[in-house]
Amino acid sequence: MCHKNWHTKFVSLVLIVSLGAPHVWAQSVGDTSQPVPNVVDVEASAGPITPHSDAWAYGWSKALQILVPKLVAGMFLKEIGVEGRKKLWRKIILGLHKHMAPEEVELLATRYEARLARVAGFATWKIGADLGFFLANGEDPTRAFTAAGLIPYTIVQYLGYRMIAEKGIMDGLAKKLGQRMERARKGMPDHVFLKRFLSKWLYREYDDTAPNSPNVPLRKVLLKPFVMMTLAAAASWPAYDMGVLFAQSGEVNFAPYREFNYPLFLGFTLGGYFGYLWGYNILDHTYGVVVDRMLNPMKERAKQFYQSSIGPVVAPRVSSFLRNNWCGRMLGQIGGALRPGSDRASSLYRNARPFLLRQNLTFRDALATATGVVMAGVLTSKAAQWTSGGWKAAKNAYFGRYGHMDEGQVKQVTPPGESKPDTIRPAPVAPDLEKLFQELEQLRKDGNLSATTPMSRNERLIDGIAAFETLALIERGEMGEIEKIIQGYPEMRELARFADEVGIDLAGPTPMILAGEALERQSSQAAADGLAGISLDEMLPEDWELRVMEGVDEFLKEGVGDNG
Amino acid sequence: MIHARFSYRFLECLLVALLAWQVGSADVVAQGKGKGGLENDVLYYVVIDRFYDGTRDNNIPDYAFPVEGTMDEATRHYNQLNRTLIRSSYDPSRRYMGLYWGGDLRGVIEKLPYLRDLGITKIVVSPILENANGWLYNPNQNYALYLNRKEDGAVGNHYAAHMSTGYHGYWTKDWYEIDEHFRDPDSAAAKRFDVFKELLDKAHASGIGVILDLTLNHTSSVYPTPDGKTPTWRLDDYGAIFADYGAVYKNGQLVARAYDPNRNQWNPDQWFHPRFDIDFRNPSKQMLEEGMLPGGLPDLNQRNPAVRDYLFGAVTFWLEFNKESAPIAGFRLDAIKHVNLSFWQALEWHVKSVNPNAVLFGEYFDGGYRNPDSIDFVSQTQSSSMFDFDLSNSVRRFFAGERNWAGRTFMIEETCLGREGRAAKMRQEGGLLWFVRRLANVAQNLDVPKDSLDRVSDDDAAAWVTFLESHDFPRMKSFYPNMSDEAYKSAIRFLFVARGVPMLMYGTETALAIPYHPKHEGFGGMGGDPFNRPMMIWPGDPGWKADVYDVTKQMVELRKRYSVLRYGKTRFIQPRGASPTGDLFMLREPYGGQLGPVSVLYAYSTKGGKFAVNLQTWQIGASSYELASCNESVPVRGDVITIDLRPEEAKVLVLSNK
Repeated sequence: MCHKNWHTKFVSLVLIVSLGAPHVWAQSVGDTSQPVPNVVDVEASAGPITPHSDAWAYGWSKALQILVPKLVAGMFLKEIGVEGRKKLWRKIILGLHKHMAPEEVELLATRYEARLARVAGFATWKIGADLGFFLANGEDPTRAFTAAGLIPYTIVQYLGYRMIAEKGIMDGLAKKLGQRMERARKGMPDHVFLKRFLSKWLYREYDDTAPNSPNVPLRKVLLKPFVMMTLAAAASWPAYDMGVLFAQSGEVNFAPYREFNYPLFLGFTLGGYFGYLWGYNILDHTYGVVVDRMLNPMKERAKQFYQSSIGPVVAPRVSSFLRNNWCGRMLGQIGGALRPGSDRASSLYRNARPFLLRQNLTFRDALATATGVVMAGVLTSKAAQWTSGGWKAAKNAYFGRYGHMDEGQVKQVTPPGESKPDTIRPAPVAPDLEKLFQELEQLRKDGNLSATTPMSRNERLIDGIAAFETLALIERGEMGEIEKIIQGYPEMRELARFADEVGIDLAGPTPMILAGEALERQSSQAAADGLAGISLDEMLPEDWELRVMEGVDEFLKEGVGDNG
Repeated sequence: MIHARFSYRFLECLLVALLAWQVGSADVVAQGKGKGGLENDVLYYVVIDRFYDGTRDNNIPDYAFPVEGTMDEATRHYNQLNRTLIRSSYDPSRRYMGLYWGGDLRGVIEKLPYLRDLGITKIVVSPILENANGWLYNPNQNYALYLNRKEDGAVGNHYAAHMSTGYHGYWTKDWYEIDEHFRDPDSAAAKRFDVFKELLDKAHASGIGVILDLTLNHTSSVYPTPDGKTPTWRLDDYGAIFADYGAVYKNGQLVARAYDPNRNQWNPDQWFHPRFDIDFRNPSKQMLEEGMLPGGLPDLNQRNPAVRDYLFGAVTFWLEFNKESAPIAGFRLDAIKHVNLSFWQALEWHVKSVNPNAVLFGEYFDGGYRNPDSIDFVSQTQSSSMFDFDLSNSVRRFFAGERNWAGRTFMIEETCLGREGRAAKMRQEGGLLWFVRRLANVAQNLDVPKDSLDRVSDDDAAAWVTFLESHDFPRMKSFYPNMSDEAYKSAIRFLFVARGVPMLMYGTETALAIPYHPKHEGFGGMGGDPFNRPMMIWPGDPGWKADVYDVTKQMVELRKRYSVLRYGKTRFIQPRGASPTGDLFMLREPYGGQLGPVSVLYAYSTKGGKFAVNLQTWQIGASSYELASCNESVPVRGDVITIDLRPEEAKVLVLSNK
């Protein structure tokens, strides 16, 4: 809570979404002296992406999961100092193996460089994930750079994802089955529709925005999100926490693994994985259809038509102001340089093109990435809701079948006299509340529920009973029965006054028991007063027992709960 | 700067002393050194509605809203609506946690002997002020209590199972009156405060002070809502109905409206901040201070002089109430972070000018060393303490076995030790280790911030209020259903030995909790609000845990007997064989460097075992010791005290050096 365990908080955010109530979050971090649901907030937060909504935070997190590794591992490492680092690798390799052949040295150096990029990719992916979340939530962004957590995270991620999941499980399985990935790729024809479809829509490399190869083996397509993403991620995230705890107190604490919310994290990981994949692909596909297949041919045709009908393009007329003023001239130069088709723009583009292509930075890719990010934000919220909800439902089902309630605690909260807590009956379907209140209002206007004179507590209770009975009747849709209450109400009030007289406290927790005791007392009193000859029935109004049963017992059953 | 501060404190002390001389002390316990002056106290929080039903006649107190023929139509309608709401808000079956259950001030009076016997020095009563009648309906939140595993699906009364009312007292509408649910039923207008006066007098006679819980931040919900958000009144949709639109009254007379339904106008009298909800995910200070709390609670604008006068007037009223015989002991200030600091500063001066002995402590949610904003509050007010959520949360988690993040021995130790903690010392000494630590953990998010230590004295931190359970937190045995009674008792022992002012939530002394059931998930998790507020049970009742009660009572007594528990310094030791992450050995000893006559050692082990505490190694001066549970003094032999602990057991040893 106050100790800013943001890592847990990040994951627990999904739980909050899954509960579907922002006020729960509010209660967990804010003042909870007001135990009330936030009606307004719940309604206001219905939209999937609003500033500070969960989807918004996830979207930012996803965006930076893409951008930060791209900038650091993708651009910085690939573009800057590559040769220098390779030289260094060569020196290190030759220092360790003096007689190694130059081509082997080169091969190793390239491999080390690739490993460095991968390690940087893992670490920066986590930085991006946390950074996006913190920025979206206005929290201290420096926390995303906590090396104490990042180092163990990256180690476990490298071991878990690269060594165990990818090389061990995926490639190992492939080897065992005699279907090595490369061979499988070569052997598989490209035109198999299902294979292409599945690999396009269910598979992507680790936050790689490049279009997928259609030749990904099916087992990899199916296993990747679960084995490689989820297991490896679930193994590495608690390692981050462990690292932070270790850096602080020197303790090796496995509680982050024990207390990690795995179901929730499953939703978080899968939502991010598939959300991004689908969002990216949908835009990419749509772009292909709309721009490449429809707009570009149209544009080409329009250009041809224009040229054939108008003739050569005439240069635009430049105003005297722009011609004669230095500022105007400069603007003109800049505009010219940036104008599509101009020599300078072409030159800039030509120079940048290899870089952009290397980085897969096209307008189309940018659009697809943005769509992927948005969809990841939305889907992560939903997926987390589903997985945590599913886990909760499973736990509840288990409790319903095999669980137990602490007997001591049941005794503590069982109202006195309620020796055998019974099942609370299912609620009937009810009409709307407005109608209910109209009925109550009508009842009150008729004079039946509002007293003009001071009432005893039993009379007030009877009023309450009548009100509750009415609620229950309306719940059941038995509107005609309300009339009976109205008719029977004066007699009920009479009973209340009688209960006052004989000392029955109908408002007690177990009015029937108290009523019985009071009646016994009444009987003794009657005997003492020489009224032994008069039976209770003679003393009480006709049908008193039935009416009390109807009134009180129904109240307890229908109005407030079945006490058995 | 130091000189100015000293002068300021001197003047303040002088003023307080003068006023104290004038007003006379009503405290039954001497005040402590720290801000708030609570160190010598053991607090006991009571949710009035859930404590004890002293008189059943006020369970449906619709008589407070008479309907007479001579009334004007508006009043009659208002009263009628209140009557209907009152009737639908009472639950005699005590199965619907959101409704009124009948507890009242008379009940507190009747149970004063129990509280006196337990040994507590001050009770903190949930707000008793006139509350708005009404309810909120949330179809997605269950408030029904299940007593059987197979109780499934919906419940008997669908409305009651999802309704929450103002039984808790935090929907105040009249700061000058007592709510009809809590006062005696037959009290005529002139005698309507008598029951509270009786409580103060009898509590005082029992050596107990009464602290009022006061919320000065907001009023009650405004429903049906303006802005076109009128509830649909469907069973499956949110709904609410209130007789007042968040209005403020004074002695029953309307003084300000939050909303005028006739003109569809928000804040017509300018007593409130503009209407907007707090986004708790990313709240700004202004949003926290001016936004509405969940539930659509209109936020009072304390900068408006009229509002300030009204609230200060109410504070004066309650401070002066019954001042001839036994005034209130002070206030628990609710929702501190939601009101601007200057108001609290002014209020503090005002309170002290009326009664210098009045104690003040604030509920700054999540407050403690690690919450800089809460440190702003305690360091910039002169006489207010606050709840130490930081330490309390760590203690809860540790003893329940949640040994992650806050629930670690390290976190407990650091929070107890403050500037004597490992991180603080390392920071002070600097060096390579500190540099590396800093580099690896840039935000230092788990350490006690230097700024907090610089701004809060040890004396002040010792006066912060600590707790295991509160009306906002789930009961421990509900939230952690597998927590053993032994661990629970160990937590209680720790609470009373550690620094801070212990506050017992009613029922903590008998491990009161609702049982685990999936339907019992409230705000804050399993057993959270409102499931953390079951009806109090009493000795002899089914489920009463005498062993937990005995431990609590014993610890209350111990704390009162040994000042070292209230004013001593803290040290953690590590006997051979003890696990640094699973065991706690905490020593409370006098300040000053010399070995005092009495020290107290708290020993706890998760897995249990035999632990030899070498007194020389740990520089503990003791010639004999006695266990808190039995008053038998045992001489120390060979400078070693051997403590045998069962798993999750804690023992408290009083070490004497005579």
